[in-house]
Amino acid sequence: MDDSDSPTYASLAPANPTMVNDLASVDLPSLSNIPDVNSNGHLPSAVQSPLSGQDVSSPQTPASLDMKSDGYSDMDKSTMIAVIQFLKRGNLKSTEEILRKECGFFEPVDVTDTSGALGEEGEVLAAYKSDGNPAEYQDAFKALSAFVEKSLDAYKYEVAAVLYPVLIHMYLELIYNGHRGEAVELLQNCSSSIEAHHADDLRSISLVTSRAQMAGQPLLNTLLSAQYTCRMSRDSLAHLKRFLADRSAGPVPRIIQDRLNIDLVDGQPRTKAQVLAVQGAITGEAPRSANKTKIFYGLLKEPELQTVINEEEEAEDDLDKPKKKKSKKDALQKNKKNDPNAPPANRIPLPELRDQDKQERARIYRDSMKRVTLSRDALPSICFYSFVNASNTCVGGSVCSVDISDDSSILAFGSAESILSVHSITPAKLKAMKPAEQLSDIDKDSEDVLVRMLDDRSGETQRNLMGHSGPVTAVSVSPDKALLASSGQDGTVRIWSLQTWTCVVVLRGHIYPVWSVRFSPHGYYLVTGGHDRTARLWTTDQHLPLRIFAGHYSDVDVVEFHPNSNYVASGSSDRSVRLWDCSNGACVRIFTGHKGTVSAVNFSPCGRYLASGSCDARILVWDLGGHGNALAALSSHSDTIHTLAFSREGTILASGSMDCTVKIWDFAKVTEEGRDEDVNATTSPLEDKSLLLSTFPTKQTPVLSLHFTRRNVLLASGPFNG
Amino acid sequence: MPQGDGASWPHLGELCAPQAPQHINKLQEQRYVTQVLDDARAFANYAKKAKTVEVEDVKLAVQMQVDRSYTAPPPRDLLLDLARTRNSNPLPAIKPQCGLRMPPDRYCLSACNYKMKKTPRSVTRASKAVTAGAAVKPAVSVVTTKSSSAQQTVTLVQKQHTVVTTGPPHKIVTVNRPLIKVTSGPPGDVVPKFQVSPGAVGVIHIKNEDGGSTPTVIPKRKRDAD
Repeated sequence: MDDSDSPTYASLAPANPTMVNDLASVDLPSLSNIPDVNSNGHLPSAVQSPLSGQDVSSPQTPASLDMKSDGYSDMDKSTMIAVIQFLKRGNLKSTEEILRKECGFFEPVDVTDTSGALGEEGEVLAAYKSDGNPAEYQDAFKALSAFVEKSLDAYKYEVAAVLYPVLIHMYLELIYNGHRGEAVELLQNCSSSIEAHHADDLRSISLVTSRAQMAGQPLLNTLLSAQYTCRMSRDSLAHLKRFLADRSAGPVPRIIQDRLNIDLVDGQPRTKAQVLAVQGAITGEAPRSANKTKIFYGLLKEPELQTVINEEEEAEDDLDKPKKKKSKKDALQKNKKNDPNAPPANRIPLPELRDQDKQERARIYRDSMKRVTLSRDALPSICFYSFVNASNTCVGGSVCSVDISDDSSILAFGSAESILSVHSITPAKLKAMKPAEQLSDIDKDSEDVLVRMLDDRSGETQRNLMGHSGPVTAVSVSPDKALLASSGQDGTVRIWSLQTWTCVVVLRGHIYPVWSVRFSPHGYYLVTGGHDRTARLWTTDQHLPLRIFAGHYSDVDVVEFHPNSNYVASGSSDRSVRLWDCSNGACVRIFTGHKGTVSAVNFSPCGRYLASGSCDARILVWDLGGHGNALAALSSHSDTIHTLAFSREGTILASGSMDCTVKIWDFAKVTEEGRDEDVNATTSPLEDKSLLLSTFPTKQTPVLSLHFTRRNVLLASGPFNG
Repeated sequence: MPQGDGASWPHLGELCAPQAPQHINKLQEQRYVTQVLDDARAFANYAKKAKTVEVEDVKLAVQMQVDRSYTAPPPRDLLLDLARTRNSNPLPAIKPQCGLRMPPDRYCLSACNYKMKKTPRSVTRASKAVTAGAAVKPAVSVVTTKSSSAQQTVTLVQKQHTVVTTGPPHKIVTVNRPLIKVTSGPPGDVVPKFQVSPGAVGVIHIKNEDGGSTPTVIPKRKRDAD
């Protein structure tokens, strides 16, 4: 079989041309059905059938028009008509004349374009045109599933992964060609062999019952524009190829060829658990090439705090024992060792530390000395803030997003009534800045100018911020507590000043609802994720985004910064979690495995692990040093997980969910066991019942946010649905 | 259900709301349907192919309506393109010692906030309720005051001299030759309480509104100037 015929298998759809389709080398005998011009003059689809014994391909894309001008007799009449129709549509009159002259083909050709009503998508959808016999689709699928059942256990689960994409593409082909009855029957009879987690997608596809409906469906756009990826070991692939070779005339090999991307993996075929662990995303698994980049997951070197600490020590000289001083110095020395996994300090520009930041760092350091160490024997104390009367009749309104500042002194929440409310949860009050005349009087060089510029008389426990024109979907307090960022369903992101209590900037990049916003742990950078399927990186001093992280197939629901501010994780409705590099905007990891929308994402304080929770009530833990496989799967919740929080030293993971419970997990055990072996495609995630340390149920209060204070007290909050 | 051209029912919601809220939906649907059919008829006439409205015309009319009301997020290839362009610029360096980092002033909501304020009725002459925004220099202003009987109107036509000496908090506008016309209604009970002699020159003080918003701006401006 000529290799020159393999381009004809390229799908008409503008699928990613860089995908290498391994099946192109399959020795399929050339098919015998030559496309005929249909009675009403439709352009034949040249996808399925290489014209036997010919070097001519007649694609409908303008890119390649390889015509052998040997004379008309060598070419098929239908091909000629197809090409001339194409030229006529593109108004290439002189080209058409030259072609006719050379080939001696002077018959008039009628150009009718009934697929024009679908617009551009018509081109893409035309790939579904086929002359296959509708009756044989069901039999072909049943034969495929029977083959999968009979396969050896070693290959069975990997090969079973192709059942779902083959089924939906068969269904779509039948619908496109107008065979609605057969399509519905196909789904009814064959859905039983598909895993349960595909049920939602199957249902939304089954709602499409005619060609006209296909054009606007977003799920279909995804399926058409991206190939479904399945990873298979060499043995399983050979096994599959043998089956397909027997069935070359049917629709199955054709669909697998065009619509699936089979990623070849060296090594042992995977078990059922391993295969199931990575399935779930809309476009199948992540190809190996997507997860190869090195990630700098280490933390940045802490700046010199020695001088500040020494000042503090001198003040406490009388009280401190000599032993305590020594341990402080040791801890500082540890930071000076170079971490090979840490990014260089100038990889992305970060704001330099001001005096107030250095004082804050000193305070953090002192708090960390007094911190309670949590472990499986020392569980955290939990303080729960319930929002009562959180209905839509009062000012606070239905609470939809909560954030607590890093030093745990400010709680900010956003409501569905577009009002933001900021509360002080420590005795310190929320003060406003003095008016202009008084500000000019204060001494700007004094040590406590930042305290003096605030008006003491204006202290209040609670302040409201109004400005959004839709529900506030997320809130984030900056680490220095000077700014608050909020995102709304009205498509804007607002930055508020917590000193003047007014809105300072409105960022209007996302035009569609923005679902999440987070400040970076070093301040200055913001990341947002929205309905337009992008996550964007902003800074507080530019009104346009610095980076656009595009690649998700559906809304970006949650975003989070890595502790070293170099990476951003985003979770999306396409059920995958992606890790992006801030310096160049590239996607460095794609994590698949969730079977529902990803609704929470968080990094461990050491920076090496990423935990994500989703609507399927499972938490998956990913190792950033590895290559995209889950380290652990924690399942115990029964509803969407909205929030995840790590204790300050990373030994405890707390999760809060819509099922009104807070669960505490032993993260130290997860990391211990993970460190021993290299997590790769052939290891399955750890699923240990003993990882769950404790469950704290509430009375009808779904948990919206969790936050560990610097001394490891867990603060939780949620609206009471009484 | 009233039949007829849906386009002539502009405020269905307000008309029906107090009496029958359940009809609002139906009437809005009917308006939508008649709009679509009208458009379809227009397309059919334009195409001159058929005198009757065809399915294709209705489809086109629906498509036009949908395009006007709903937009979809940009397609993936466009997003990837945009991202590639934007991500190719390196992250800009951060200026040191900046205080609060904000975008340029025109992208911030930090401008001076102006409010309208009524001046107190200090002048015994015509109760001139002259209000002006801080940056307004009107050439001619017509001030109409109604006397208590509501039958007599006093029209005060002023040609204002555009000499403005600015300086917070006062703006002084000099007025030349106010002409006052009094149109009297039926011989009334109310005698206009004022008399004006033409040719007099009056000075009106307009106070610039110095509301609580300016303090929030000035400290920021100070910091920007640093």
